[in-house]
Amino acid sequence: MALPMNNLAHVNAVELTNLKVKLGTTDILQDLSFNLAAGEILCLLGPSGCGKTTALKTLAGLITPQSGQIEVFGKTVFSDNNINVSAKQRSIGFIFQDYALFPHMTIGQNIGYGLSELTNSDRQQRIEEALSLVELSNFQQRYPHELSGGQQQRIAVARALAPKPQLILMDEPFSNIDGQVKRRMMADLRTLLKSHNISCIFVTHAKEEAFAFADKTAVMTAGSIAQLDTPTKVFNQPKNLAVAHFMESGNLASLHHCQQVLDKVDHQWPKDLDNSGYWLFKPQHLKVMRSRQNTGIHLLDTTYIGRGYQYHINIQLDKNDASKSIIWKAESEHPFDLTIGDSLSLEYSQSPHWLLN
Amino acid sequence: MKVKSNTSPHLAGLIMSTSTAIICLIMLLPIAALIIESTAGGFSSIDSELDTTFNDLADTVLRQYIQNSLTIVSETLFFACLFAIAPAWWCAHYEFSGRKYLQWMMIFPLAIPAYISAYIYTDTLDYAGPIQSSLRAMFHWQSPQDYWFFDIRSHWGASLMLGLALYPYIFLLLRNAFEQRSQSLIEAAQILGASERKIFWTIHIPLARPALAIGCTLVAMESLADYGTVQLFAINTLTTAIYDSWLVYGSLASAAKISCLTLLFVITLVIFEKNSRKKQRHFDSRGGKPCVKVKASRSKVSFIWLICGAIFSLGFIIPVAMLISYCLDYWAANSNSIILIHSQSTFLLALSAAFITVLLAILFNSQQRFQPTPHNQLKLSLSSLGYAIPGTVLAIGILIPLGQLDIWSNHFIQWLGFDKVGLIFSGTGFALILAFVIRFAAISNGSIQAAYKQMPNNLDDASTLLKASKLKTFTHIHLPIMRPAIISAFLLVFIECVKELPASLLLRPFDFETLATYVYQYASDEQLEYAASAALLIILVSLIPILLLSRSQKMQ
Repeated sequence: MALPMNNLAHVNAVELTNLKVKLGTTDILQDLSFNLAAGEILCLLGPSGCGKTTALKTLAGLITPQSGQIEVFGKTVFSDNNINVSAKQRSIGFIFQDYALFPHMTIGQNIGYGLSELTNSDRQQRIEEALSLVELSNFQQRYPHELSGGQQQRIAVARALAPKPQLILMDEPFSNIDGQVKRRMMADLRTLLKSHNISCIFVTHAKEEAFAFADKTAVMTAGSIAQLDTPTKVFNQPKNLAVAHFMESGNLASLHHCQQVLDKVDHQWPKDLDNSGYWLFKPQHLKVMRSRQNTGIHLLDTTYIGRGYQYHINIQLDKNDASKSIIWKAESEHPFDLTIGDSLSLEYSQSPHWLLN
Repeated sequence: MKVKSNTSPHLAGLIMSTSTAIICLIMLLPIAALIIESTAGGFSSIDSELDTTFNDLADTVLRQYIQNSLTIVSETLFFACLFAIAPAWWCAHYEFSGRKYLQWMMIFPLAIPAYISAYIYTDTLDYAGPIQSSLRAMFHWQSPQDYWFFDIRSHWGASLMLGLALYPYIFLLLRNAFEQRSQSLIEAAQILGASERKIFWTIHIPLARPALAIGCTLVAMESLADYGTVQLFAINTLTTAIYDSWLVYGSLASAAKISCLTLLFVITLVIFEKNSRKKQRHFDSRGGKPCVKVKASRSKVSFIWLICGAIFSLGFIIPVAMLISYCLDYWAANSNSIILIHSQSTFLLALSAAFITVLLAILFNSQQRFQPTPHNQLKLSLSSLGYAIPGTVLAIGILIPLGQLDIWSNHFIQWLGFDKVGLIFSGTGFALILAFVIRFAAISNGSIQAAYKQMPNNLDDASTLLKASKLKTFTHIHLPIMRPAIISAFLLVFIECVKELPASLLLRPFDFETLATYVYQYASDEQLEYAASAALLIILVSLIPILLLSRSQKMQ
């Protein structure tokens, strides 16, 4: 299918500026701002209730914001200045979490639904192109309930792509698909979007989907963007505690108990410790060894996690008070000869990442 | 670029909003008319000053009428619970041969209007009936003083008839409540050492209490609204007082005042019902694995079939068998063309009312779907209020404004220089159709509302994002998906219109009969034998929703 190559590479696909959305009496989005370059895939990542889906629906025109500005490919579709282009005029494709396929229509009718301005023959041709794009050419006469979850998702993609949008929004598109099928679907869909230079924003709460599918990741907390960067950078260098917690980036130690921890970990530590932040220690850079002395560090349990072993370690912060302790994780590809309760010593192989609270 | 904001109301939306507001006001008009007529002297203040009917009734018999109404309601509740609770538990808790048939058979009595059963049992159990005659012949009794026999023409008899016709409401709700109990609750109780008896009294019954309360409220409302049975047994209640005030004493003001009094009882019941529904939501333990049925022993199965079979026979088999026998014995009277004419006019009337009711339900619900505002929700709720108003009360509430409208329109036509046109509103099928639409709007609203609830909002959003207008979304997405709900709403309203008696008796045009009024006239003249085929036709039509219900539950 010949979707138009985007000749607006220099223009941002999406620009959101200070968007505020209130539903009832609750503020859902607060000064939400971000840009998406044309042809890029952005993942909006965050815990349930942080406003991801609201952001997506507001961008699509399904929810009217209280204030702010939305530009799509340089065209203002919403602003405080009484501009509010309706959802059907924004030409944005949308894939819903439950796919929202019309249950009483055949697959062909579903895909052709948004193509009413075309002649019958053109519409039919476009339906066939869209179906071949998702490799379901023989399914035109079937009904949605006759398809598997993965096939339904592909039909939802075909229906969203058929009107040839330059921007496509996806609300947790992979949440209903499991394992191998999900990985293949993500790879196929990413190839499809990239080959047609379609910009995409998708929403998820599963960070592994961001790594597999997105060029950029924006972590949302409480209605605004906490950090926007490449997925690896967001994971490895979280900007603040909320992002580090959500991304499960590693072990955290505040300066409050940092000194006690650092005394126990064998490493050349920087001198300029600050009072207002946290150290982030990557589990894979933390080496555990059995110690003959009582170090105040004990093994809690060992878990096999597929790529190696994960150790939960209890670090006692106060020699006289066992309840004052923190739990860290360490990872290793190979098993250590350790049993639960063993006294341990720790070695950290890299400089920890410093982040602000 | 300046584009008109999509939040500003469009003209079409404004027109629709205004039309639904006007329709809503028309649907509330009967209640408003009753209140005005019974308080400020009403529309005809001169007549009402001279009219002392209500005061006379209040000074003499009104207290007795209220007492009779409450007695009928409480005794009906007693009988309905007696017939419903144990069978509902047996059908929900035990697995036995024929259970699936039995649970549907138990609902069949809902198809038989109580006044038909009342007539048949009176005919059978009265002094001159076959039972007492046979007993007298067998034991050589000469007069009523020689023996005691249950007097069917009493408030106990009327309540028994109403209980037999109305117990399926409680049976259905309770059976569902028992069946949908989560198995894990029962297993938790078993693990904690509770016996089967203790589980019944401490888990099943308390959790089913809201369903029982809703069922009882429905039965209470129906028995309070009953006119046919109590009139046949010459028991004066609030509904017969309304009827007599208007048709015997010619006092619309008095009828309106008694209607308002009846409405107070209804409002109390509605509040009770709403509270029970709220509680039911908290008590709802669906979602887990449903209860596993226990295999019943042979003796238990025999006992269940004996009791349920007796209730089913009393509520359905005997009345239907008697009607068939009347029909065959008086075949000439039952196969005449008058019944065909009344059937045609009834069906035409019911079809028109069902069509309008469903159309309005679609209008109110689709408006709420596209613009989910508290204002539209209020209109939807107000348009459903009619279900709680007894037919007799509603009829008086309609007669008051339509009668006034007739007077005004005749004056206006005379002023234009033409002859009077007569009672074009209150004296034609218009009044009856209006009554049916107001009374049964809740049924169609409920059906369409349920269909909309099952339709994800994402379908609308998907349609909008695919550039479809609201009209296209409505015609291409909503209507096709709702088709089964629309058909069942249409059928249910149609059937209720065919069965409806109290409002039809008061509002039918001169020389016009519906099947229900035709059958009732013969029953009240003690000649139901001559209208048995019409009664069978009503029962046959009334069985349709029961079959629909069984089909929809099978699909679930």
